[in-house]
Amino acid sequence: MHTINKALKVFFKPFVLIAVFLTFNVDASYSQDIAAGEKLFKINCASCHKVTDQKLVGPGLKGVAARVPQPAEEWLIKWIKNSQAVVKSGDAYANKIFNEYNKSVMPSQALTDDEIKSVLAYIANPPADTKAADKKEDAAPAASAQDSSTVLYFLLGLIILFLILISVLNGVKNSLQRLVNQKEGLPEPVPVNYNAAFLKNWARTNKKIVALGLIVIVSYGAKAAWNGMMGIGIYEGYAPEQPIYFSHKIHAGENAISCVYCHSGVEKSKISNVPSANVCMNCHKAIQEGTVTGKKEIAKIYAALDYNPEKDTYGPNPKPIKWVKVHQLPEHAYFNHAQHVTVGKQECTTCHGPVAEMDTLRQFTPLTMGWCIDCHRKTEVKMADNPYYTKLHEELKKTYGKKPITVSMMGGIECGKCHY
Amino acid sequence: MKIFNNNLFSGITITVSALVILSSCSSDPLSPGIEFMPDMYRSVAYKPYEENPNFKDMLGARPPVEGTISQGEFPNSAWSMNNSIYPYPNTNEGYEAAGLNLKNPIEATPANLEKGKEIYTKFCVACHGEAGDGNGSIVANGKFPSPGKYWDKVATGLNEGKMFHSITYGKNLMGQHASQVTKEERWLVINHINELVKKATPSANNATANDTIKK
Repeated sequence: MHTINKALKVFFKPFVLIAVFLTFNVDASYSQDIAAGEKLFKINCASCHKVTDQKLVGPGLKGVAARVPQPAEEWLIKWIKNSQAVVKSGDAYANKIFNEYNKSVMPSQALTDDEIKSVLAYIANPPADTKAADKKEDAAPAASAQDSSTVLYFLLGLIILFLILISVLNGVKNSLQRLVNQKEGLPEPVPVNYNAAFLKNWARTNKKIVALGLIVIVSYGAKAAWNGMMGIGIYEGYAPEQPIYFSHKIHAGENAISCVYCHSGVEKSKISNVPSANVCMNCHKAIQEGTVTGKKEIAKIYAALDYNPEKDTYGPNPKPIKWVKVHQLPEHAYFNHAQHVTVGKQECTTCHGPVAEMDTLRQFTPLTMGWCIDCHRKTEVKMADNPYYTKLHEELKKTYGKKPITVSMMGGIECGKCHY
Repeated sequence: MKIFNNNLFSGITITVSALVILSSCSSDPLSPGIEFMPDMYRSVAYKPYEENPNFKDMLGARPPVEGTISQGEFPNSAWSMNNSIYPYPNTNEGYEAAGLNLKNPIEATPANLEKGKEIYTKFCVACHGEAGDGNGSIVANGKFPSPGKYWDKVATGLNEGKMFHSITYGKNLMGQHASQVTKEERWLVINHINELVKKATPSANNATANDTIKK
């Protein structure tokens, strides 16, 4: 172990030295400029420009100093402070850019010359793209952990298959032997199966253990069979793989985006809509690299929309994304999201569970009739300041007095409420 | 021909494999499990988002026909501007024209402001921040560039009509939110934004635009 450490140290030494050298090689004041420039860039420029050569709202700024009229710094300061003045002065390059971007005006920026210089320093020295490599390494073990249970099942299945195969072949071998013996008039051989003979002997002498074992196996089997039957038609725990690896944990948890931002129909409609891809693009026009999966999964949105992120253009051949439906309520039961969310003021998490912690969305509740009824019996209706119920509440008060009104008291467990 | 010459051995094998099969029905998260009487579960009628072979691209969720009026929205109500189709095109000229002509038809009563705040918290806050300073959750964690402060933009000519136009079509990096926020909701939310600007303006004059935003 000790020698390995030593070897590692020797191996890594040159890298450490190089890293130290690189860090100190950059002039201190210059690096401060870049840091200040980065800050200013993120606040003032980043909503339209990238430091790479990628187009966002405006052009990508990689190598901008080389392509604008020289002296670049002077021209860029003029342009950034008041782009329209430069365009109106008849500057050929300014007019070309202005027309190329459909005459969208770059707003004048209230920055000083020095601030613009530090922004330009930042553009000339963009951060190295180390993120992507790190992320890929992180993502790999998570995927293999998910697969391990499948592998286990596969191996178990394989073992069983081989055991069956062995016993079948054994049987075939024995009967062939018998046939050969019959033909040649030889006496029938005593089938020798050492395993079986040993097991039989052992079972005869240890009847109690065998009986106990059988009871355990049978009762376990019966329980498993019972559970299996009770699980028919119940999708609790269903977490299908989606065509795009979308993580609610990142979007709703880490980024704290409201559920309704994407599922905007939930308050107005019977169904809570799956967002169309234009809603994805509200953010993913700018965010082209995912937190967990890098560019791979976001590229699938672009592919579906036939969108070219380099040129910021949409092609003519969009394809729908085939999301897999997770929550499947039987067709003979009526459920209305708006009624529960807008009128009943229920939280999304009441039925869908801690979605903000789920990477792959999982059905959290059984969604059985018993589960519905149970909630309707227990849940007190939020009648106060709820104009939907004002009139009904007056009527109900006559019957129930001051008792808290549950959903079942106003007919929430009548058959016709959900089955019609 | 006897396939299993070894009863005990094969008995155990069968039991074990039966157990594995049975217990795996209910625990595999990738499979929905067994369905009882699927005819009663799934109707023949197409459901929202279901694949629909009547269309060439099989897309069940179709965009509404141009000029569609949503339920409860009347073409002559104040917020639909006497015209169910939004009259200003998605161009610079349209933006300026919307700024000149569109006026918020919804009064900024306390009840309306409360509604506006609710809508703002759902659709705007992730980028624009609770206070409207452009430092929402996805800006603060460094994933999305800051959209800037409302009051800075109001100082350089942003008004109600331009806000409405920007929510409808998007502006710069902001995408169009017409599919998520109805016309009425857009005006309600603009009332709330005006309120945020009013709240921030006296203090915003002291600090420069770049000081308070993280990163």
